Amino acid sequence: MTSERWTRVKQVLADALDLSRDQRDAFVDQACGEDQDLRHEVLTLLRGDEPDSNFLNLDRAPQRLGPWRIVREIGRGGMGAVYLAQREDGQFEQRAAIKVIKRGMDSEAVLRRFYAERQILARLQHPNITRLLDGGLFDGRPYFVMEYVEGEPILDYSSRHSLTLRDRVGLFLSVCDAVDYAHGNLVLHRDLKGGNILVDSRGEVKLLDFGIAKLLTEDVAAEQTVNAAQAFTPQAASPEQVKGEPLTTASDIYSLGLLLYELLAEKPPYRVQANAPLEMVDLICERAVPRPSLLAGLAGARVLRGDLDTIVLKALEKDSSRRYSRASDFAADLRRYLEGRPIQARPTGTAYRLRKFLSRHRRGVAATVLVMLAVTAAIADAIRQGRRAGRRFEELHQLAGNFLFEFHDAIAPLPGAAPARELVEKRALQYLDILARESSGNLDLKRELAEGYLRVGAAQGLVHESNPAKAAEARANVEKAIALLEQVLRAKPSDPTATSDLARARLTLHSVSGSAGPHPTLSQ
Amino acid sequence: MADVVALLERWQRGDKSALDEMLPEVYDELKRLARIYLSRERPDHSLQPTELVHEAYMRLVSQREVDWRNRAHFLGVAAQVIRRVLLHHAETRSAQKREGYANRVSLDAALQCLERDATVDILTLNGAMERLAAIDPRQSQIVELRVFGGLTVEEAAEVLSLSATTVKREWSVARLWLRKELT
Repeated sequence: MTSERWTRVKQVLADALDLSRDQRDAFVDQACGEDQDLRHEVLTLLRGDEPDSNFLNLDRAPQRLGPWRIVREIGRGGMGAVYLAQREDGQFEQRAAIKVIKRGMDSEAVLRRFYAERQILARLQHPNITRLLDGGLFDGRPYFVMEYVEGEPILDYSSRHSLTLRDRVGLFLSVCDAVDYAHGNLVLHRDLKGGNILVDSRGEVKLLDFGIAKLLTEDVAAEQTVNAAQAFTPQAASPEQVKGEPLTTASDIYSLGLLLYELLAEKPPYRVQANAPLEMVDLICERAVPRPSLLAGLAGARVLRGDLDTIVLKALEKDSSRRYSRASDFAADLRRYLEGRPIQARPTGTAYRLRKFLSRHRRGVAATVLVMLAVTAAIADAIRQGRRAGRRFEELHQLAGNFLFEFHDAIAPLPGAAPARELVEKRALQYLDILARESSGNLDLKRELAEGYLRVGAAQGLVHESNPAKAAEARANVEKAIALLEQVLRAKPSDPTATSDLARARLTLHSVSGSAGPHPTLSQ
Repeated sequence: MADVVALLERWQRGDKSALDEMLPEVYDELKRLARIYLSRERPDHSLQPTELVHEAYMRLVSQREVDWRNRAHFLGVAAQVIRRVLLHHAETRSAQKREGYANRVSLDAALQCLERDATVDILTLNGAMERLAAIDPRQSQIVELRVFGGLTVEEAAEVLSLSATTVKREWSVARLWLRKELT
C-alpha cells in the first residue's frame, strides 16, 4: 500500500472507530462511495477491532500519574479502580488516593465537568472532608487525585468498637456538619453511604468523594432519559435519584437518614437488588420504611422507640419537601434528643396514611405499564402480520392507538409518572412510525396518524419546555403531523377535519417552538 | 555521569547528537537495574521494561528536576533504546554465551514480559513496525513509544508535539493495521 492510499484508508477507519459499532458499516459504505477496494480495505481492518482482544492492549494499571507514583491498588468498584499513590519528587511525604475512571464512561464529558467543577471542589476545606487535589487524563481515562485517608468505614468502626448509641450519634453529627458545610458551598455529595465515610485512628470522621458523583453523571435536567448513566449506589439512593429526577440537598439528607438508620438499628431498612430495577423503584419510592426500633435487636429497640424513630423517618420521607430541609436541622434535632429536650420532628399521622394510599396507587401504575407494554408489542406485531394477511387492520390499529393515548392521559396527573409517560410516548411513536410506513394512499389512516404525532409532540412540548433536545423532538413530531395533513389536503383539498387539524398543528408548532404563546391542551 | 537533564534539553531544542550521548547512559542504567531487580527476586515484581525505564529515569535525573515533560521526552529516548536492546537480544538468543548469565536472564525476563503484554513476539512485531514506518513513519513512532517505552497517549503526544486526540486516533488505527498485518 502506498502512503497516499493509507492516508485515505486511515481517515475513514479512524472516523468509523469514533462511532458506535452498529453505525460503522453504514458509515463506511457512505464514506467510500464507489471505491469498493477502499471499502473492503477499511472493513477488513475494522474486523480486528474486538473489544476483548489482548493484541497490543496497553490498558494496564498506571505506574505513574503526573507527579504521583502508584504504590498499589486499594479498591475496585463500578466506576473504576482506586490506587494508593505517593508523590514522586520526595520533597515531602505525601500520599494520595487516585481514582482512575474505567473506560466506557464518557471520558471527555467527565473531564469537561471536572474542569468546570474543580474550582468549587477545591474550595471545600473542611476537617471532615477529604480534599480533591488534582485530576487529569491517563490514556484517555480521567483520574482524580484525592487526599488519602487511612481509616475504617463508619459502620464497621462502630460495630468493631461496640460504640454506644451516644457515640454513634456523635460520629453522625460530624458527618452532618461536613455535609452542611458542603451544601453551604452549593456542592451535593450525591453518593453518601457508609463506604464513603471513614473514621481514622484518632476517631475523626472523613467523607470521601464529595462531588465526584456529579462529574460522572449527565445533568439530569438536560438529559431526561430513563437510562441516563447513573453514578450512584442503589442501596444508598433517594427516591428522586432512582426516578432520575433533579437532585437537591434533600437527596443527601435521605442518604444521611439511611446511614443513621443503619448506625442505630445495625441493619439497613431495606436491601436493594441492583439487577431488579422495578423492584428497586418500588422498594425505594413506594414502600413504607419500617421504624428503626422494629429492626433493631431487643436492647436497642427500647432506646430507639419514640424520638429517634421519628427523627430517622423524617429524614427518610419519600416526599423530599417533608424531610429536614438542611443537614444542620437534622443535626439540631439529634442534639436536642441527646440533651433530653423536645425534638421538632413530628410523627406522621393522617398524612402518613394518605401517603400509603397514594403509594399503593402508584405501584398499580408501574404494574399497568408493564402489562400495557406487553399488550402493545403484541398488537403491533398483530398489525404487521394482519396487514400481510389482509385481515382487520383498521380495527387493530384503532385499538392500539386508543389504548396508548388513553393510558398516557390517565397517568399524566399522577406524581412520579414521568418515566412511565416517557415509555408510553416512545411506544406510541414506534407504533406510529410502523403505521406511517403502511399508510400510502390511505387518507383516513394518514389523518389519524397526524393526530397521533400531534398529541405526542404536544405532550413532549408541554412536559419538556426547558429541555432543548426534547423540544426539538416535539417539533419534529408536530412537523410529521403537518406533513401528513398536507398530504391529505393535497388529495382532498376541502376535507374539513384535515383543515382544522392542520390549523391546530400549526398553532402547536408555534407553541413548542418556544414562543410565549399559550399552550394548546392535549385533549382539544 | 553525563547530565541527562542538560542532554534532554539539548535534544528537545533539536540537537540530535545529544541523543547519541544519552543512549549509552540509559542503556547501562537499564541493564544495571535489571540485574538488581532479578537479584532481589521479588515474586510480585514483574520485570516490565517500562518499569525499568521509569526507575532509570529517576536515578539519572536529579530529584529536584523532575518534570513530567522531561520525563516524557526521556521515555521517548528510552523507548528507542529498549527496542534496540530487546531486538538485538531476541535476534541473538542462541549466541549469548558471551554475555554474563545475569545479564542474559534479565533481558530474557524483560523480553518475555513485553511479549506477554503485547501478545506478540518481538521480531514479528518489529518487522511489521518497519513496514508500517514505510507508509506512515509517525504511526510507527507512536507504536514504538507506547509499546517499548510504555508511554501513555498524553506522554507520547508531548514527545511528538501532537495533540492527545491525534495520538489516540493514530494509535488505534495503527493497532488495527498491525493486527491485520500479523494475522
